[in-house]
Amino acid sequence: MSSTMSSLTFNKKGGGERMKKIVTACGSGVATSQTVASKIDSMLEAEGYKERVEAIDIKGLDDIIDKVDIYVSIMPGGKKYDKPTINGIAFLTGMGMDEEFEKLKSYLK
Amino acid sequence: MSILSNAIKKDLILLDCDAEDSESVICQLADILHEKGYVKDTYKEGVSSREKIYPTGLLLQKYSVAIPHTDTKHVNQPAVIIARLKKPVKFQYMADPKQDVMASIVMMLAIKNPSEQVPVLSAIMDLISNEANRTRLMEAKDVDEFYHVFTDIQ
Repeated sequence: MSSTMSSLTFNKKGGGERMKKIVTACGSGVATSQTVASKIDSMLEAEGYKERVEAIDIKGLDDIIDKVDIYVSIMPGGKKYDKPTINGIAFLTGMGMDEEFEKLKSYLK
Repeated sequence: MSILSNAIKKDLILLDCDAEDSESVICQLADILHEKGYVKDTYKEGVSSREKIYPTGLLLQKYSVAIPHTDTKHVNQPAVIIARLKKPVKFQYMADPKQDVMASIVMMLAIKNPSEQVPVLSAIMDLISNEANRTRLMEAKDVDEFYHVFTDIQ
């Protein structure tokens, strides 16, 4: 998984384009966000995408939001960011997951 | 063998748990984890206060689920304790705290090492997001039958 993600080998796409940064966040950065990230990672991997989702503590999100391309929201009731956003809960419950994944892929294009 | 065979323990399954509200479920489950040494005495308060800020109810068809948990510092040893409730209790929806979720199954997580436990949580979520599996859990006659829902999957 992320251990194989060397910034040198994977940070560039074919055309030298920067790889998009996908971030998800939850209250403790412990369980929910990592589980969502792992589910999305496996779906991205299965479709040959190199991008991976980074799970962080919600408290750290403000500091890095400028560098984020796509935000996977686990707490839609929380703060809104002016970034392409998908619903992360769908990847926990399976409900609406395919739609959210399609949306994510459209943001990755 | 399923990854869950090791992670789910029969002595951490409570069928027909009787609770009036989410606080009571959290207390009952936290007490058991504490008695068995899985968590520190601060765990209960940790879960309960986190639940208020970041609720963990998951709205699902027919039988909803909640997955209360807290920071690793309150945990001695990883565990998953599962309660099937006699009657559903109200949690708030993770995706929208203003919305109520009447949870029939509560899976409380004691997380020590997130990177090691995420595969377990992912496997649990894959299982629980399937309505047929939730129905099997709700209809299981005893702990053995309940446990086998987790271990039967590939």
